[in-house]
Amino acid sequence: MAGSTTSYYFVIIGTKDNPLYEAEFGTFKQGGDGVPKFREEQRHMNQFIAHSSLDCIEDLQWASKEMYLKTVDKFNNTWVSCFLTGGNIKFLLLHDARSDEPIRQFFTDVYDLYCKTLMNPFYEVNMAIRSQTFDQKIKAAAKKYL
Amino acid sequence: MALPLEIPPRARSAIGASKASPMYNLRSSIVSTGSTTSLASLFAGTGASLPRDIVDDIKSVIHHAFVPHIAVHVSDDVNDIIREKGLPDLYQLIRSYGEKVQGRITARDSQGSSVTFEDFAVRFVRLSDIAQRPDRNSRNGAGSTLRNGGQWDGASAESMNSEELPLVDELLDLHLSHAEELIETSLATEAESHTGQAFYLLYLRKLLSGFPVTSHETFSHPVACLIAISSRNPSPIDTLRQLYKSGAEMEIPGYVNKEYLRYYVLVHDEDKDDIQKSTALFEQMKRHFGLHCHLLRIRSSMCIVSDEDSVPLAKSQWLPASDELAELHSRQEDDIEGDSLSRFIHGSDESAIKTMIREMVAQSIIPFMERNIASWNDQILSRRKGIGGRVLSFSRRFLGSTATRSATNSATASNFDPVTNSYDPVTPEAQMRKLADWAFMLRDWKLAYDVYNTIRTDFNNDKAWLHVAGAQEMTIISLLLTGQAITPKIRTDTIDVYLDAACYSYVTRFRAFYAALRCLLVTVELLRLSGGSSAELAAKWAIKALDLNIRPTVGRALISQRVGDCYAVRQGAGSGGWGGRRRKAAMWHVLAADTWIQLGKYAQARHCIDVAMPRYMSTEFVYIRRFLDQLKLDSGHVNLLDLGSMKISDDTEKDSADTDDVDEEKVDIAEALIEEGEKPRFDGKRRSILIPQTANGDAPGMMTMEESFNDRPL
Amino acid sequence: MNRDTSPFRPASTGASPTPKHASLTASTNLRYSLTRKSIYDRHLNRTKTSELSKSAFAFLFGEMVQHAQKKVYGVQDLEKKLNQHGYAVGQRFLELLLWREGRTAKRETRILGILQFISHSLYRAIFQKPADTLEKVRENEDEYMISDNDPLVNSYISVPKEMSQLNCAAFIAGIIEAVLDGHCFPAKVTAHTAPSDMWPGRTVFLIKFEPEVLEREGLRHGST
Repeated sequence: MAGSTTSYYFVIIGTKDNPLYEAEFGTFKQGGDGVPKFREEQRHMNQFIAHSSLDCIEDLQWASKEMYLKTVDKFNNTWVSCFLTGGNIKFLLLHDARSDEPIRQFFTDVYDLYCKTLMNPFYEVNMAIRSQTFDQKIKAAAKKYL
Repeated sequence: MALPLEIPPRARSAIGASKASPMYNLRSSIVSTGSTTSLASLFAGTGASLPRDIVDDIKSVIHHAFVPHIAVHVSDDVNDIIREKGLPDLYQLIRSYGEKVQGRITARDSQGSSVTFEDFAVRFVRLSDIAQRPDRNSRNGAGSTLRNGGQWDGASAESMNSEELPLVDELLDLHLSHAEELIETSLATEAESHTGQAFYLLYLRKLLSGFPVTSHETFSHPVACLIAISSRNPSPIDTLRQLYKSGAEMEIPGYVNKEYLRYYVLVHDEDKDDIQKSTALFEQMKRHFGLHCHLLRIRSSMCIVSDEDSVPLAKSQWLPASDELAELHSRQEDDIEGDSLSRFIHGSDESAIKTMIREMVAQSIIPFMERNIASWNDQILSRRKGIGGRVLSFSRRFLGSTATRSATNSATASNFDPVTNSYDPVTPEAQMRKLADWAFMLRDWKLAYDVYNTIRTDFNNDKAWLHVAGAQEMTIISLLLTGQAITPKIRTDTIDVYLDAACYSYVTRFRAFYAALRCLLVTVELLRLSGGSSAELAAKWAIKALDLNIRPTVGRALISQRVGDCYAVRQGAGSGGWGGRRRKAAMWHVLAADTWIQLGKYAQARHCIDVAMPRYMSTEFVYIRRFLDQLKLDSGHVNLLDLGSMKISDDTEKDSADTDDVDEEKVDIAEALIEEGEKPRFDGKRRSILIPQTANGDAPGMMTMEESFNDRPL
Repeated sequence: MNRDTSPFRPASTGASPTPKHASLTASTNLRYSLTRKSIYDRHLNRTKTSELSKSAFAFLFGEMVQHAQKKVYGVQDLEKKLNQHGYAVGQRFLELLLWREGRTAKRETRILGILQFISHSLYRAIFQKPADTLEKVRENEDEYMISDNDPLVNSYISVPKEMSQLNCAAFIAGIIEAVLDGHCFPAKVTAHTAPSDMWPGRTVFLIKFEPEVLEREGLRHGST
């Protein structure tokens, strides 16, 4: 496998532990091609890890007023970073190396996109986000920062 | 939704008619020739047959793991009598009775106050077994070499180098298969089979059963030696002397202190010999050997079930895995009637043995230990003061040692022998360790903690890494047992640091996986008992223990499940369960279920799935759902016949999910109708307190409720 | 991204997208990208400083009330309807407000903090003035009041006599409720007319927190 094997799993989780949007991407840094390199069995693990880290987030959300909670959990070599919006929507990114600042920038872009989604009067909180434009823009943000 | 559920081969075998592997069938055919009671007897001594109070009490497992070891050294004529009874030797006859000493045992702690134990125990070992388990180092002493600047290929470490671990796994596997079999044949319901923690406790107990004889700890070194002759012996006194001598000359590792207590027993054959003669002989024994003597009157005739006072021979719960495996295998080979006959002894024999053990422990061993603890405590400490010029306020103050190594002392030669990776038993360091271990065995956790805490630095200065690791391990364990509140500071500065260091030493320097695993699992249990944040720490270290167990073994599955149990202990606070770890617990139970399925232990897997399922009941994570459906299928949780209907119901579920929103709205309107009149009445006369608004809209962070709401005028 | 290969479609569309649905998205997508900008291309600050015509707003609000009135069974039900409309606005306003604060944005973690946020920041953002008072009810630990001397939404609303209970500021109550909910302070917010000598249209928003909010507050901050 050429280039970096770093892969990211990104998920937006609603207020009822429900995923609103999911994406996987590889890194473009260090000659990466941006293609996620998760093995098949990692797929469900990513979801388990993301889901279980909500326990930690529910703890941290009362300890900090920040929206960007940085890394909140770790499972084996997978870190979980979290951004928590005012409306209790969680952006989670699973990654294998700590890098707080690029992830913050990525999350900031995601928040922008999420707010825009929310401005759509036909969208309601906790609804799955299926817009392809959203998907493209998220991936562009990932390419830019991760 | 309809997920593509593939039916794997292992699931097919799980759901199909033949769930059993060939080996499994073989064994089931063996047991099926017997009655159901013989089925049970094959596995008596598993968690299922243990008294509940012991099963539940993890602390008692830990207490009973660290107990005084008593070597058994007997003449051939004693074993002749026992063989007539249908048992191989005296050791096998008495060992299970040491696991619960009759009545209360009282000991004095270092403060001089007496403590009572309801459940004191000792462990009997054959003296020859201690000798037979020498570390290879003492045999080919020069073989060990110093590598890479202080890394030891220490042979004493090798003896704890996890030989026992695969055996424990194998044994548990056997027990679990048996439990599966009972479930499959409907002899036991799943609830009865203790799929919960019973097997984990069994695993833990087996892990703690066979402490290897090593230089860095003295738990398995004998505290006393039981020397026995029988009334049949022609020259009793000489034989006793000889046994004393042969015991002392036995080739036991040099670091084992041979100055243990000798306890002399005369075994009198009630059926064949004259009690008058034996009593006379016993008097003579007392004159020669002092007070530590006992006359054990037992019958040499074989006892069968139908005899009037027959009682079943107590099962040993603390048999090392290797022994228990050997026993199970040999019993499978034996024909069935021979098997059942050997399991009974006369009631009078049982009470005689119990009395002997009680007397020995209460009147000889405990006082002997107390005396030694007291004198070591005084002597060694004062001597250390003299040598090192250090001031030690230990055992008087908790966390007492403020000792810092002085320059003069580091210049003196160390007592540590790097060739054998051990201290000679007469050195202060070895005696201190022994003092701490003995205090620990008498459950004087505070004293033990103080001493472990102190010798740790000594070992460290000598670069005796194995000993350092041992002291670190016991520092934590004794600290947790003192019941002191575990503050966050203790968690991060003591427990985390020492555990990490000890594991590093055990695993990386010595490849002593057994020691590392024991250290981790005992700590995990104690932390788990503390609950709250400690339980989370327990989970963290249990996960670390998984790293020692990469392959999917029974141990790995059990520990994964335990991680879940640890998280589950952290329930969180209040009605909202804030700070709970429910999702994490569920995830680990699912992971354990996955491992169980790989091992073919479907009942265990089903249990784990049942525990985890509520958390994922309506999850919208597609892969989680698919994985769980697959697990259910593999473990036989879902019947293959139901599969078709499951798909259909999934589809309808999808449809209904699409219309859910509409439904909800309808419900909302209906609710609105019902809730009519729920609007709080507002009379405009409510008394209230004005909350000052800050300019930037920030909450007055430092302001407390009292300050802001003190009767301020509106 | 190709819809069919994407593993991340929620359950209802994931495995077997209906052909109808798929073609629909494909065609609309094409039109979007070629001719029109989507909602994602608009800057969120575009309307931050622009002002809205009050009469236009009043007209829309009036229409909304009338529309809501058609399908209800009484005053309570009407208020509930208005509350729901406000709730949707509140959910959006909350996120938008925090987004606009940028890096300095903070989530409020305590009851007082979130109430201050509502009565000050949120109120200012919507009505260009802070709420007039924020009070705590003495008798009940779980009740707070925010008052507005002259709610904007009521400016051109005249309540008929037979509906004297009605206060159309239930719409604002809904906004407040949404913001509290979003921050995990579930509460019931209701609007009550409480005229004073100076302000005949004075409205009080009564906030009654769910029991778990107080319980949590006690657990988290009780000791500090």
